Amino acid sequence: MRLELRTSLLLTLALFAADPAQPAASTSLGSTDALRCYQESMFPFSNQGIDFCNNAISHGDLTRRDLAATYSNRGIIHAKNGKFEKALEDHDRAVRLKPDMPQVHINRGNALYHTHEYEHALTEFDKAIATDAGLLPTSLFNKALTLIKLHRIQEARSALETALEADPESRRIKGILDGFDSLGEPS
Amino acid sequence: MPSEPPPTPRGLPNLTRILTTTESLLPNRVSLADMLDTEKMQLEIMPPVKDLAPLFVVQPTYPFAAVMKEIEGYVLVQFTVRQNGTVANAIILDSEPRSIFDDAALGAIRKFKFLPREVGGDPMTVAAVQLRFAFTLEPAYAP
Repeated sequence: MRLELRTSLLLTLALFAADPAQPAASTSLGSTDALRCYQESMFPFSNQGIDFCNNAISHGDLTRRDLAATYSNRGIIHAKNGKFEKALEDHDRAVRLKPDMPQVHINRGNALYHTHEYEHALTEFDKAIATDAGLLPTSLFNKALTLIKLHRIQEARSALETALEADPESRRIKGILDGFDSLGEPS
Repeated sequence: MPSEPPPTPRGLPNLTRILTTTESLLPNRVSLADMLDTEKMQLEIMPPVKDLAPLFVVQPTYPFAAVMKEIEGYVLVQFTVRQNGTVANAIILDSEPRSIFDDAALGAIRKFKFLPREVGGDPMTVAAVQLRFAFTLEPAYAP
């Protein structure tokens, strides 16, 4: 029961964090290593978050979902520090633990994107798209960037258009899509 | 993002002095200043001040050629926010790489609308406001 509660708290924090208008919820939730690992993965300017992730993982009291999330978050920190091999190891673990979480596929796809394995990255983003509509704009945006790398421009444009339909307020998606539109129909 | 601090608001009339004047009309009574003990009161009544805040934001168009060549960079723009919140006199202060993103940044900032800076309820024109646009093609993580 306690573990279930912790899971819901982590997810609540994620929802708050996704909305910049909401204040950080960390003070009311208290601080756990998994939570700190999550927080550090949002702004991974250094390696310091790794210790929190390591502690959370080694304690062995996380739910399967939180363990997958913690591996995935540690992978983000590794990737942001240029350690893509370690990042991929963590993302692999996360995917094995909880393949039905779109986050683990998005983050694994990003690591593959950065190691120039674009086809594999696409596969991950497609899995995220198939898993959950909640993160559709992010998955499609990342897919579009990957398709651009592969010079599959029409598909990239289509992915961006669908992403914008899912999140009409996204200025980032619109900014890139406008660049496409300024050229007319791409070849 | 504003580059200069908001101007010091003008103070209200000196309340203590007004009360002292009233006191002189009532020579046999305890002065109002004494009654209210205004000399000891830390009166910090300020006119309402509002600072610049973006009301309408436009994402610059990412030039298609830059996307295809995977070029990333930034543009630092400087502009004036008029009393009605619109933008004027936008110029490029710095950009990297040179000129690739300049037009996109200028095109965007000219469409911005700000809540104007107000002092005492009066909107002000604010010059030399600076904003930095970052152009990145980083895929988004999902922590």
